[in-house]
Amino acid sequence: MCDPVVTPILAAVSLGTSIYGGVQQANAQRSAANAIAQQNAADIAAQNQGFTQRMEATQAQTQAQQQAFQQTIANRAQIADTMRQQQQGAFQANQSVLGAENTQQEALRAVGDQAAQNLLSQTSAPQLAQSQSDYQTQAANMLGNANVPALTAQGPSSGVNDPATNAALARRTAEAAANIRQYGATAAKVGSYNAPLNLIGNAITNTQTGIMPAAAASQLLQSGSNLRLAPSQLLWTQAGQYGNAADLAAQSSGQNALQLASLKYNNATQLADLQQSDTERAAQNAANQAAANAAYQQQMGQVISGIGNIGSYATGRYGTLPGFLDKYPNTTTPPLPAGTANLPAFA
Amino acid sequence: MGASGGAIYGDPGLPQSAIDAGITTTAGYQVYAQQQIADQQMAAQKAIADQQNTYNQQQLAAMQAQQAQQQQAAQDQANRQTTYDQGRAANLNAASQQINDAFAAFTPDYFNQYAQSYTNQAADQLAYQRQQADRTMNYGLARQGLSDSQARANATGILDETQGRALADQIQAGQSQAAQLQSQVSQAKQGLLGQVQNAGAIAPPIAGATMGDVTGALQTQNNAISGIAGNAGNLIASLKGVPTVSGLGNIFSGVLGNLGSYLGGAQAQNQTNAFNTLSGTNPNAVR
Repeated sequence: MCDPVVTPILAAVSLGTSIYGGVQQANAQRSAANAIAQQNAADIAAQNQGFTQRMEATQAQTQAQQQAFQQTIANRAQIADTMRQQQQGAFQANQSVLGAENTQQEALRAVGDQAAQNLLSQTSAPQLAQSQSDYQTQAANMLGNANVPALTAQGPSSGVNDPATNAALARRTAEAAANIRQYGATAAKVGSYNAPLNLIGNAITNTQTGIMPAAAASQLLQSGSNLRLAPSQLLWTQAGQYGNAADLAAQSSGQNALQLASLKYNNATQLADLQQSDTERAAQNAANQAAANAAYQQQMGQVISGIGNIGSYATGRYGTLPGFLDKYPNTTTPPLPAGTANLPAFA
Repeated sequence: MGASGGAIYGDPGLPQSAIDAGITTTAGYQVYAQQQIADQQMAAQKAIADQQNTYNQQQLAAMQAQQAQQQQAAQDQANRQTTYDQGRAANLNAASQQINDAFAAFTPDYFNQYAQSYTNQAADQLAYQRQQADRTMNYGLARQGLSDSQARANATGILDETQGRALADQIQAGQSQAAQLQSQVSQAKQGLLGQVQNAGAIAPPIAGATMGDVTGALQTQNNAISGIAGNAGNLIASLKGVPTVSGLGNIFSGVLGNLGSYLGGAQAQNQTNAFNTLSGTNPNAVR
């Protein structure tokens, strides 16, 4: 029934085919494993690259934030220093104006003090008593210097030759002089009681008059003080206002720098994420593709192995292949399953 | 198609802009697009920051300029106020000095001299009346033959006392008037200076808007004050009037009347004695 030559050949071919199919399956499995390994490697590389990029972005953001913060702090410190210097200058200017006004006021006050001291010294008890004494002395002097015959020690009256009469005249004149002096002293004493009052009244009036210019100057100095202090007070307020505004501007600038740093970080991390995601997706796609190819190759290997197995079976069972049945119709080998006649041809 | 017109093979769905940029893969396109958007965001954010900074700097510069203007205005006003106040004080001091100079003659010696002058005038009037009284007395005594008599001594003593007492009273009047004059002078001086001060106080307390306004206001005030101070001379002229002693009246009339009565009595006694002598009834007739 079997061709003794062909049958071994067919058996060998079937065996070879079966082995080839098995090799193909093994290769497919190895390709699938390699694809997974490559995907893993690509994923790790992508993760490392993305992680590095994100770390670098974080470092860059940290540095940018630090730089922005330091710059902002430096700017704000400079603004604050300038503001304080200006306010200090304003304060000193204010003090200078006040000092100058106080110096002038002190000089004016000294005029008042001196006048008050003079008033007190002029109206002291000894001075008042002295004024009374001076009044009486002045009255006595004027009375003594007046042309009153009894007081001028004139000689005997003209035309009087009688010694007795002259003696009587001398006695009476002396008596009259004494009476006059007594009366004058009494009258002066009475009048002298007004002398202290007059002294006090005049001293008060003269003191008031004396300090009027200084008092007026003091009033003028006080009335214009607010206007003279206005520049320093305005400078103080302005320094604060400008300092606050400049500080806000510096904060705004710093905030903008921080926003830029944040945006740069976000962009960098998003780009890193994207690149990582793309790489991972590409690796995943490549792995999937390789797995599909390996599955196909594995299936093909299984088919090939199946064919080889069938051939081996047929060789063992019938000693020939299906083509021989047509050539050798008398064989008793049962027909092959349906469809096996349509197996593809292998190159 | 690439930018050079050649065929380029790449992933499907890539936009032409990416192809023109030489990008062939979807991943490359995404990275490229993401980078583009990031750059645009950064540029936009930087532009916003720059504009914000520029705006802030402009506002700060405007604020600084406005503050400088305010500061300059305040300083100018302060300077004008100082000039104004000092000018007003100087005007007041000048007027005060002018008044003080005008009143410089009113020293304590001036008032002492015033009292002395008053006394001298009164003494002169009294001396004149005394002279008349002496003559009347001497004639009366002589007519009665009493020139050398105790009566003359008594009458002379009374005349002396009357003259001296009257003079003492007039000295009191002179001292009183001198004190009154001194008070009037002090009050007049104070009144003048008060007018000057009031004239200065009427001026606006705040300096004008320009230095010219300040100078003009000071000049106007100076003119007013000078006018007041100039009146010091007229006031002083009225205060410097010569002391006038009011009429003293005849202070010796009482004394002389009394002396006349005495002399009348003496005459009657003499006549009686003469009659008795002639009739031989009065051998002790008084002579």
